[in-house]
Amino acid sequence: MPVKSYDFVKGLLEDYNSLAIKTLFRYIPELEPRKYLYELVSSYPGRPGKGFRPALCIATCKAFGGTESMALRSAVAIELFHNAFLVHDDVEDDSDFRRGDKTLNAEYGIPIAVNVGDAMNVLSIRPLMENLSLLGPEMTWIVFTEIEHMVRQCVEGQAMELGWVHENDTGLTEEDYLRMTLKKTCWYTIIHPCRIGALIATSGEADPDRFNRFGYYLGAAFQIQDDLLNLIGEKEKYGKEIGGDIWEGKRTMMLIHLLNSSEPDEKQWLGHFLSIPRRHRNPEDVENVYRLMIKYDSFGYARSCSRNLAGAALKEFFTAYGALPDTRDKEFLYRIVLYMIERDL
Amino acid sequence: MRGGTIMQEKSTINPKSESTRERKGNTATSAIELTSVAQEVFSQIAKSTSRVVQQAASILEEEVADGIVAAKEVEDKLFDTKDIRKESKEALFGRFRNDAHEVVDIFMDLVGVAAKYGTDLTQRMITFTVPGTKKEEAPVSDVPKLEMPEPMKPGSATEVPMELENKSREVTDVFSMYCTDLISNQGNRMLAGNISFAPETIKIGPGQREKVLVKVSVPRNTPAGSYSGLVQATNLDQLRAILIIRIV
Repeated sequence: MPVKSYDFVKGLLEDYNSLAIKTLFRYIPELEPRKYLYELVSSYPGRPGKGFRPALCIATCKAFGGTESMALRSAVAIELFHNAFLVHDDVEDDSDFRRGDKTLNAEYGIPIAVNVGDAMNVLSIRPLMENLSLLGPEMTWIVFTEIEHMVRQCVEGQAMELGWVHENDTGLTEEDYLRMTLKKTCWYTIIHPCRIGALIATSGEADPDRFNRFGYYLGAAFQIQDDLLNLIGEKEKYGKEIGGDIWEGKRTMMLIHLLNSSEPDEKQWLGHFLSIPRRHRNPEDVENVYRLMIKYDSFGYARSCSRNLAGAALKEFFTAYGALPDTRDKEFLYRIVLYMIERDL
Repeated sequence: MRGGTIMQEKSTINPKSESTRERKGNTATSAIELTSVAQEVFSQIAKSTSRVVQQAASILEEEVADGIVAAKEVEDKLFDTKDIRKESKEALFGRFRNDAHEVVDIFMDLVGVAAKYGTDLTQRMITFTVPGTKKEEAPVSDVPKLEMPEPMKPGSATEVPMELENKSREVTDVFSMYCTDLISNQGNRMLAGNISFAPETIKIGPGQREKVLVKVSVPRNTPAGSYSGLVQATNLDQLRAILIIRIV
């Protein structure tokens, strides 16, 4: 069973993640102002995280015949962008916990947290610039164009989701959710790390579009899984508050399913609940939303969607990687698909 | 049925992986084979193509068309990356310089850029004022250059397209573009009447782009040299570019 294969995945994930984080720290200036900037920049990357993004980038590069060092700077940039997103996400969501510890906004306040996130975005540019000496101008340009698309898609997806909450939109469809997830999560979590890894390894010869479906299906399955863990996982394993998404009114697949399945009076009540600012919501109402999700089997529906997408991702794995020689990294990439969708659920 | 297809793929992979492992000294922990979890997942989608997957595929196609393809078009406007990949670093930048004439984006940020680009005529040859903004110096390099792609001969004529982008949130007034007399590095002059723009009047909405043709007609008796003049627009202080023409 997958226990053994997950040990293999976890081991290599840890190796690649450690390498990326260790390198990432080298890009944090050892200068003033330390206390409220550079020391805090290392806060989130220093916490235990899965490190999917750098691992996917480096492993794909190696699977396509490249080396760790070729992809390392790009992997670090992606990880820095990711951590910047997390810092700003926590501000936007008013979250208290991240990766088992207090969020920067909870501990230092919103202004400092926002500035630290800004700094991380800026710091991510340097490793991409340093690609020039190792990869040459053409590949540096290609990686920049990939990163530009990645970051823009992510903020557009985030804007969609924030807009839904801001307007208290209760008429969303599954298609809306899938589109938002592609933009907010999939491009930068899976698709672009893989595209960049393969492009670097092959000097731009590999067709990066081969990863689009693979990455989208896997990323969407992963996101739905993450949203499920938020509601029915264990805090110690998940690292964030359980049920936080209901408190936030986040438009997850479960909530959208519930809104589209519930009776008119229930939907009206849900609309009212979602219109209340987070700080004014109460535990009883949150519990009631949870019960309604059980009543309409929203968890089961979301789990089924996640499984279907994961199955499609596995199939697409063979399109993206099937023709490559069998290596440890190809094996890792195959098993990480299962690991990402099976983790602790 | 799909499960069967995948199993076929698996069977084609396994023999190869065994030989690979022999060659590489067991670099892979095991050949790629379907775990029980994978088999379970596949059995679910084997029954029918999932609606959610079909929906996702459709969304992806739309987004790819809107996103990457659009980004590629912008990139291609600037230069041909496939050709560039074959060239050296020096050639890359040389090519960039040569190709930049094809599309010159002159950004007209009516709100923010105006103050930033304020320039003192006595020091920079270029000046403009914006009501309510303070004049500040700006490096000449901030002014876009519109360079003719090829040297021109006396008596010849050419047309070069450029693109104007209004990055502000306001629509522009109707404006016309004009050019000052061009002065060469030898101090010779080419009169502004030899430069014209089409269309003659332009209006650009917020975030919109318009193509403009720069028409150059070089008088027969024009001495050789590198000529430059300032392109500006009526009713639009923020728009300017340096027109450069080499006469041989």
